[in-house]
Amino acid sequence: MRAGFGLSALGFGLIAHAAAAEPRWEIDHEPASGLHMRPAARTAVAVTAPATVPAPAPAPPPSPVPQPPAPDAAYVRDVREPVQVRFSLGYQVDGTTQTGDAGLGGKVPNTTHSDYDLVHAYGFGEGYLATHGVGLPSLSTYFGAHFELSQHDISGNAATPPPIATWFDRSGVTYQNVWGELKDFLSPGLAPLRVRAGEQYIYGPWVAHMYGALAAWDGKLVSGEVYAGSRVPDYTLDATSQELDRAGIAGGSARIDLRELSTPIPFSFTAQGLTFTRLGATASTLPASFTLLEVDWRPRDDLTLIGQWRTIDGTAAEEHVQLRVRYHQVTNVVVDVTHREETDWRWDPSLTGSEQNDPLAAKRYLDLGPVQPQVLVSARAGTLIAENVDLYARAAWSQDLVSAADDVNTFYATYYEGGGALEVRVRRTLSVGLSGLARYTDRADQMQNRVEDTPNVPDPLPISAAMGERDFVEAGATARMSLGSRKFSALVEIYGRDTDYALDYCIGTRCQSDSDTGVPTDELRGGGRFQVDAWIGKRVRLFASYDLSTRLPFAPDITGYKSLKLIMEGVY
Amino acid sequence: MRVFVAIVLAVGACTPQRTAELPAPPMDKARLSHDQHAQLACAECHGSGTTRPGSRDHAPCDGCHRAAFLGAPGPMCDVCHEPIKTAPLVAQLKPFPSEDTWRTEPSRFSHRSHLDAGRIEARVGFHVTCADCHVRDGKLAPPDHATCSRCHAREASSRPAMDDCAGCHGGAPELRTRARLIRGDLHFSHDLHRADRRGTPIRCEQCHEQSAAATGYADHAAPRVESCVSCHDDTDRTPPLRRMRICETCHSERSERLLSIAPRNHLPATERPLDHTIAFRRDHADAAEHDAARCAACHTQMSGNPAQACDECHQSMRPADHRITWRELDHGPEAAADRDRCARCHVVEFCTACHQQRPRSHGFAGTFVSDHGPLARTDVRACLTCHQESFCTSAGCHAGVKR
Repeated sequence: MRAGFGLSALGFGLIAHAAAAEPRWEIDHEPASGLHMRPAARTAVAVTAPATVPAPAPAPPPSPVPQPPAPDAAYVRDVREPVQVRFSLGYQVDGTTQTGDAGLGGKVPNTTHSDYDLVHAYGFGEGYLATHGVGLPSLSTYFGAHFELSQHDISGNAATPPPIATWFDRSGVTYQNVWGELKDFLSPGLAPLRVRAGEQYIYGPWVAHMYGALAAWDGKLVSGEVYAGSRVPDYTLDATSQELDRAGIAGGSARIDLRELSTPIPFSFTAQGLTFTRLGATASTLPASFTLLEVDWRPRDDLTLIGQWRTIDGTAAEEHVQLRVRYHQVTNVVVDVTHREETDWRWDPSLTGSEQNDPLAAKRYLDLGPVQPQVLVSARAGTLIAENVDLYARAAWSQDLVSAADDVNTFYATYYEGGGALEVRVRRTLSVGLSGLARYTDRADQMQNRVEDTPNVPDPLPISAAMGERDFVEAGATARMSLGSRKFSALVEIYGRDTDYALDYCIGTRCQSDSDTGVPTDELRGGGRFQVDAWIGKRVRLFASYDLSTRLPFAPDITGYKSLKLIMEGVY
Repeated sequence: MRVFVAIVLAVGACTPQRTAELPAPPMDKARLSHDQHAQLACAECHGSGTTRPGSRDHAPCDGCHRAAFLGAPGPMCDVCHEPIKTAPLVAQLKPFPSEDTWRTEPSRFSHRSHLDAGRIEARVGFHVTCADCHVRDGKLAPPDHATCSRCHAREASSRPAMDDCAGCHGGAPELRTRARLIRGDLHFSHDLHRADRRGTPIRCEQCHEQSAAATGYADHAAPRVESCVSCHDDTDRTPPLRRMRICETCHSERSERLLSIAPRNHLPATERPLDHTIAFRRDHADAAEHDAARCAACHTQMSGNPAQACDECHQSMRPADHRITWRELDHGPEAAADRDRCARCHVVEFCTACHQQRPRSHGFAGTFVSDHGPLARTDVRACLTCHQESFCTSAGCHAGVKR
């Protein structure tokens, strides 16, 4: 028996010897042809005197030319071209048609169209020019402008209203960016220094548009900037003097990112400051300063918690906390909590401080009453299922922190909001989507705050807390075909919105529905959008869009809106 | 709600598995444990340098395990052999080294270091390319000790030397995930991927881009499908019948189910990237801040400045909800609900430029003062976005605010 197993063992050995993948430590084949030899001189230095191998030359300063794009986008456009130009020419026609019915005021508009235009057309265009390393290796320049050419200019106060409210009825050129930037132009030790001068946008406590200069230090551990200039009067100029809009601006920021330490600490701290010599469009407003402090905690690349504290003239104006979570590239969750103080600006730094005694303040500055304390909580989340089903959900809650009902401002009312969207790619190039949004606004009780309608007598105004829409529901559906970026795409969209407004005026004790007063409070309308975006080669783009709406319950004298936009764009 | 949850679960259950990064198979504990043989020097078993230890009539293992070799097949045999059959006798050896399983003494190897041409040249006078290790006799072959010895033989003076076992082997096994792109019903031939349709050679790192940067097992990932797309959606580089949209180019089977349409990573670079979800379109500040160059490749940003360039898109691209009814009807409630959202692109002067103008509804010349009542009652708030209450109550018109 033992002998049998001995033979078996011997057999194992023979079989194993034949079947084993033996480790081969000997060179039994020629080196592959791709084995590249370097010059002998360098070989001698490296092999015989390794200690004297010179240290690697210092890395050249970073080029002002942008870094190459990520691989998945490298075939769309080469952003490293030294000169890049993009310009577009467009033409838009907005229009409507009269129904022959009376408006809500009971009057049929003038059939000669002297009350308002039925058609409004204008041309427009954009131009961009960017250079990198042209003239000087360290020089970059950027130019961006927009122009409009209207059929008639309302600045002369001679035009009738357009079919759709717009400020575009103005001919002229609006410059957005005209700047030059130098970097890497001093000693290598100052490589992170960047200097930019010209018309530019500044990102601080507020995104400011200014003529001026900026010096920035783009270090990894420490970065910062200082800037000074005068504000660009965007869109509109003061009625009396253009110069009054040009407030002086100065500011700066400093950031330290502890993640760049040799022992990383997942925090960064930022302080920003901005000072206006004068605010808004009048000289009566006072200078103001704004600061923003920010703490950024990022323990992982896909988890960020940001806390911000903003002040105006040293007084707390807004606190903001944001949580960003990302999981597996396609799942995102963002939660925002914002607390506004009554000292905050209304819309932006151009309007702060106490209410001005100007009956046209709302019209001139969109002054909708004093700022009220408010908490806004917003959560948004989305993910991609099976790489084809895109889901998105959002919810928001805003709480007006004013205690007395009479003090509630309709523009700061408490509301609750929920919405979502779904997009499914049903074919390689075709996707369909659905979206919905609903918002309920907490208005003062309509029975308790109703205004009894006395015929032929101007009624009192309702309290602010009772005004405005109570709720709305919006739904939409889209179908999109895309052959890829900068190739061809088409979009069809339909949507509808149902809005319920507060019923503020009642007849006697009847205040249950709009049938009691004859004043419509429910507005159901919809619309559609059709877009085609086609590229001819890689240089020329053609875009066409046609928008239209259904009839508008609150404008029975017209059939709705229509708009056609045509754009031709060139990229070089 | 239940229906929604059911739909989500059903869709989630149908989610196809990604192509790579599967967990590695469990360690084959039957294999020889070097820890239990630590009292022996390497050369006592691997001394010959040419043969697999034990393959010469079980020597030198039989110095200690002789009794086990002479007995009936048992657990000791499983260390080196597949399950043994005695009638007829079949004692197949397990492959060595075993591919895609835990290796008891994995080699420490950095692709990045070995592809650093400057570093290699400085040490040994030449540098290697992928083919120098992975191609033998004109065919792809896994590197073996002989491959390494071309540079690491003692006379070649490249460290570690081949007889310094601990120079490559030793330490605890590294956690490793199996890196396989070609699996399931996928088929692939390296021979057909030597050059593209135009005859331009296809470089290894064009597909194995992550391998070239790998410093060990843990970060040695499989090629990504995205790297296939750039060629297979380019008619200049790929024959029409081998395009990405033809499933049979790579798959043996074609599925017609709805959810089996090509995943986004099968789409060309000109398609919307995988991470550009609806949620991303709403909250992309972080991505734009940290990788602005990626944005610029497709979007309008042109200045090339990776910082402070948000305006280049936000001044020229319009959000999807800015429809034709936005200007006259929809924007008001949105501005009241979240005014910070407006301020990302607009300054207040943009608003007042319109709010200063007489709207179409006021167009009935000379009569609107007397006719505005029915319109105002529908939404008094709309009046107060351009007029203040004092405007309404002045001149003896409206009798103040109801209290």
